[in-house]
Amino acid sequence: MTTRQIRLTVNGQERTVEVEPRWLLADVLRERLGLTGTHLGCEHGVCGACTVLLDGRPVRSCLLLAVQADGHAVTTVEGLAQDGALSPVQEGFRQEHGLQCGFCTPGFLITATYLLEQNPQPTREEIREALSGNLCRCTGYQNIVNAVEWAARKLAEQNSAKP
Amino acid sequence: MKRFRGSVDKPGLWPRKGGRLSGRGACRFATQVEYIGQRRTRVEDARLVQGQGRYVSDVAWPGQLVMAVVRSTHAHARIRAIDGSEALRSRGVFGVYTARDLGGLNRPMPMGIVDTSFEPALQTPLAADKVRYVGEPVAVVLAEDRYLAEDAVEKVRVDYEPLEPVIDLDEAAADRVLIHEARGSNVLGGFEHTVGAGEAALATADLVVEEVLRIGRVSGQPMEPRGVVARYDAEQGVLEVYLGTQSAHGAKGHLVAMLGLPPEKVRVIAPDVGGGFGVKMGAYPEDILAAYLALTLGRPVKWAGDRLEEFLATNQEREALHRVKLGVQRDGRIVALVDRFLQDCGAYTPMGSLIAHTTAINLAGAYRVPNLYVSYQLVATNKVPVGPYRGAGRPQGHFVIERMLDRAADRLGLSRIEIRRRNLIPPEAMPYDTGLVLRTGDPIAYDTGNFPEGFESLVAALEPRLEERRRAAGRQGRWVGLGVANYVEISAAGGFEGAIVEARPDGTFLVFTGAAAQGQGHRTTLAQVVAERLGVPFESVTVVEGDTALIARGVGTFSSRTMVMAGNAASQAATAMRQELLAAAAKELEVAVEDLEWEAGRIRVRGVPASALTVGEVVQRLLQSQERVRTEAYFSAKGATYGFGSHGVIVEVDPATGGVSLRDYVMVHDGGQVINPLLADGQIIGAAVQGIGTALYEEIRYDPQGQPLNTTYLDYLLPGSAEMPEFELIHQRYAATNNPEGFKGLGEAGIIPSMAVVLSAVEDALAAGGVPAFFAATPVTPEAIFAAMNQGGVSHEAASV
Amino acid sequence: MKPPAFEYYCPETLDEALGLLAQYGAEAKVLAGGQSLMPMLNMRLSHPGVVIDINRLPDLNRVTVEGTSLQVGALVRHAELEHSALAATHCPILPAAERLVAHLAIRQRGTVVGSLVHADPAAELPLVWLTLGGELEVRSTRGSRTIAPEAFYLGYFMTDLAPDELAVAVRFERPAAGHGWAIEEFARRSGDFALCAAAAVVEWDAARGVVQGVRLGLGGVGGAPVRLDQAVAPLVGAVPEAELVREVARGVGQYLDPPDDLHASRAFRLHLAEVLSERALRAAVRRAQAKEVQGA
Repeated sequence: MTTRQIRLTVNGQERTVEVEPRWLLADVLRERLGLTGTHLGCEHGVCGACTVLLDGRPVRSCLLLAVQADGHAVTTVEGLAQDGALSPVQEGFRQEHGLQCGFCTPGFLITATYLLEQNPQPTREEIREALSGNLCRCTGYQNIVNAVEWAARKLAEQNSAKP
Repeated sequence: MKRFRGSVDKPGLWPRKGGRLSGRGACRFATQVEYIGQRRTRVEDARLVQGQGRYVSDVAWPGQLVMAVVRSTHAHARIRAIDGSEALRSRGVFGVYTARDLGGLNRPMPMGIVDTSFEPALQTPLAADKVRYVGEPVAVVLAEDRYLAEDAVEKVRVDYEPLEPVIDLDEAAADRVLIHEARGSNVLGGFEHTVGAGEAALATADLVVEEVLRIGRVSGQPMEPRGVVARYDAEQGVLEVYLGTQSAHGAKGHLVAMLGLPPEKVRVIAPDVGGGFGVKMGAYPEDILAAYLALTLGRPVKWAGDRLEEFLATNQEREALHRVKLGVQRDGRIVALVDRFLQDCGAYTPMGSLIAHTTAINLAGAYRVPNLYVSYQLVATNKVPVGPYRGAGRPQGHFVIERMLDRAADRLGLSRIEIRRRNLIPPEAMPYDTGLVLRTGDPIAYDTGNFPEGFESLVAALEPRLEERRRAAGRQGRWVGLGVANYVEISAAGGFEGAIVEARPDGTFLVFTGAAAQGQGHRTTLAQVVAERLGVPFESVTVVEGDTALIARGVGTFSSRTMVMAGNAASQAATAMRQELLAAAAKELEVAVEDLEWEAGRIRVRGVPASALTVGEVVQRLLQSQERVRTEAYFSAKGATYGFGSHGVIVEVDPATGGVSLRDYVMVHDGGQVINPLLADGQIIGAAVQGIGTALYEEIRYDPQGQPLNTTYLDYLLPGSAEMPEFELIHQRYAATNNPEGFKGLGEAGIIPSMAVVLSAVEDALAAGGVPAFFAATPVTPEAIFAAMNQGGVSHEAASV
Repeated sequence: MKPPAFEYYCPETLDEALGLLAQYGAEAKVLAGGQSLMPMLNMRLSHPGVVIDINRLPDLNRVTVEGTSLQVGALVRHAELEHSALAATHCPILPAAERLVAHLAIRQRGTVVGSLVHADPAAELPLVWLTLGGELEVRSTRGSRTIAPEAFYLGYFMTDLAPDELAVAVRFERPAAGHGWAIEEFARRSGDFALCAAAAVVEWDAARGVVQGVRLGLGGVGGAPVRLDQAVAPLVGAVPEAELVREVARGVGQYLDPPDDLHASRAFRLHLAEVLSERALRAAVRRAQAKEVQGA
């Protein structure tokens, strides 16, 4: 078995790890880097629970070899809160009861974070469409849409408060 | 259109506490705070949204071995031989184990419920000489990691002698091929119930409608697959098992029984559990095997099941075949309902007759059914074993009565709304004895509620929109229809739950309970109950759940039971704690308890503000002479709680493609005394979406050889965000009478009528387009609608493109 | 569900990549976006001895206009084509088709060329490529060649690509300015593979008020997408009255041979093919006529 040394920037921190090429990024994050917030729900790219940001874009970490992330930046759910404060998307999920069991939640948070970067004022339909690649079995989605709307309002307030 | 997102948007329909409570209400204790009924965000969430949850698959111990399972590739076969030698030589492999290696362990696993009504067919941890479904475990591999373990699984050679499989229910019941030869029949049990004159009463009906209804097989599919991590603590002599389960105490019982350990030497911890929906219950082979191997080898053993295994080896549900007759009078009133049904058990009966029995007692729904006859048979087939999935028979029973009412209305020329009006149980009939009985033997007597009021509020919300929707959609060549259905959620029947309240010297409180959550938010709701009954700030109460070491007895979270059982237990333990602290304070302050008042965490002598103690100080005094300050209570509700509800949905059908869009979905629900409306609404909406899945998207399919055809999320379609509607909720609140707090179960409410209501609405839409249709089976796919269009004799020319 | 062991190569030059393909041939799988390959590996439906990751090859990530074509390099992601201004201008059907491809996160990683080469018969991009026309540029140590879509698709997940060849770019023929286009599909849920999909391109003769040229393609109706030149022939030079369009659409079935499978019967697929053909043709005509009105 050959292994490779890879270097990633994970949530802003440089991490070096020796991995077998077949290891999925999700497994390396979870088992080698201790970041268990990224969840494996289906391992065939459909459920979206393992979604992380790779260089700022949402990708399935179950469909990416860790060696492919060598030299790239990865943001996981653990990297969303800043200085101990929940991000607006995280806070929105809490406020609007956008999660129940919490297992799918990290993938939704990552996807919603990207959505609001691209489209700060999405309609409910746009939110539903953007999140259609993330499956949730608990909430029925309505409160998740509410949560993203909450976050969009919060971000708009924050932006208008800025000088 | 105004969109209601939750109860707060519609305050008029949330009566203030005590406002419309009937029965024994919730306000028996005067306290300063009102946490019960308060819309609160969850204490669980800050961790979960930061990725700090700890699920079973997150648990890792140094030196752990990872288990992977070799599963049967045949639906029905004899095992001639298993050769694990090549697997054993595979890199990183520690061991390969077959039934032979397990010795006495490999005996039938216990049933997940107590059920002595028939002789069950129970699975052994590993198949020894015969496999009965694709996915049945035949061997396990232990290796250093999951990658290496899966490498080895591919190298285990199993020599099968294929046998003819039995997939179809009628065929199985004919016993041409036997699945459990020793039983002599695939029919493992048969039951019947009669209410009133039963089938004989059909003779007096003006019209008898007959249908064969088929409910599809579905899979619960929590987003977290099942998993277990076991380790043996040799120093303490304790086997510690982290398990994704709805019932830590139940699982402990199974481990104790299988492993022969004393109960105090087994600790089961349900950490964060990523959804349950009924499927994370009962004894599963992997749980027993991981625990056994950890115990035997002295090394931690982890099995994190994957999605494929969730399809191949986790209990499934619903599949049943009903032959039904409904007798009605010309005015639509029900005379008698007769249902003979076959309940698919799959290859084994891990949860006994539970689902079939629950189906039977739900047949009357929210209606007066003076005469009823039901008989049902438990039928083995070569498919994944059947166990509860949210609703566990409730949706099936309601599906039968609601579909038959639609059928009868159509035949009588009555509207589907009107026939329901004429049969709903009126409030003056409460309490209403249905003549059916719970598994506990208690009569099923609906205690409180106003069914017509609820149903009319639904009709009033939806009927005016129907024409508007029809006009708008007609311009695009779409057909629009309305479906309505009613239900009664029979929940929290049987068993008990406990709660321990422990006071700490800093004035805060811990609450321990066996009923752990899988997303329901018990740490929040139970804290609301305890804080209110104690009269302390919500923030000072911390609920700890799901650890058998912290509370010796418990049952678990299923059947919408936790708020009724654990909620009342927590209430009683909190009340006892309050009394204990007041008594201690009275002693300390040298006054009578009656002279004390309790406010904002302080206990003081009435009229003497200076003479006061904080709660923490009282606890500190008590701890000078006792080890702990604890109260505990165990609550068992008599009978069940009965929560009424109505669903209505307006759908739009594209007659050219068979595509269905859900437009307006309104739900009425009586949750009794609701603890936290935010969370209650979340339960109801989430359940409704699962029901819509069963109605439109989900079905586990098998080919004639018993090979499952859809075992990925590409082929088995879960409802997605883009297709699900916005729900509007209308609340009723009639407190339950069988528990002091007036709580009613509500976790399964949303799923009960959603199957029936969606089918009804699609038919109504087709009828509006001139295509008479009756859907007797779930799910209603575009293909099924296409078939109905063809059968209805409508050429596709009529369907505008 | 973890990939089996394989040798992993991550070449940094095209020559290196082609050398590896020449050496390992059918034993190797090319990993680009990985949105189809990785699930197959995780489910162990594929056991390649060698995986050649082409993500670090230079110069393959561009969308350019090359003569009468829009060229898309082998590492252009779906999301990049979806948002490409060049594509919107020259082949507006492509961004529209991209919006129907799977979901947000899948489109960030999956590649356009990867989708073409994977050859799922229900996928949108092979259908659009076939409908627009064009060619795939493939390289090997033996040289380079181009393959037209008609010759490329051989059946379910089967193509004319040789084991040692690498697809480096695809060219989509740019329809004439002012053309009308449409892609219509029926999928169970947003982002699912379509049960059936139809793509249409209409070139409009504004002077005479007739259809000058028309192309119709169907996906999800067999082992490969199908272009229905014969079926749509009556529209050429004709005024596209609703009745004529309908008649043409009703006639597509005779050219199709869809399967019965888990998701739809043959009969239902044939029916959908007619419905979606009509919708796509009508929408394409409408767009072409609207452009005339706008003077585009």
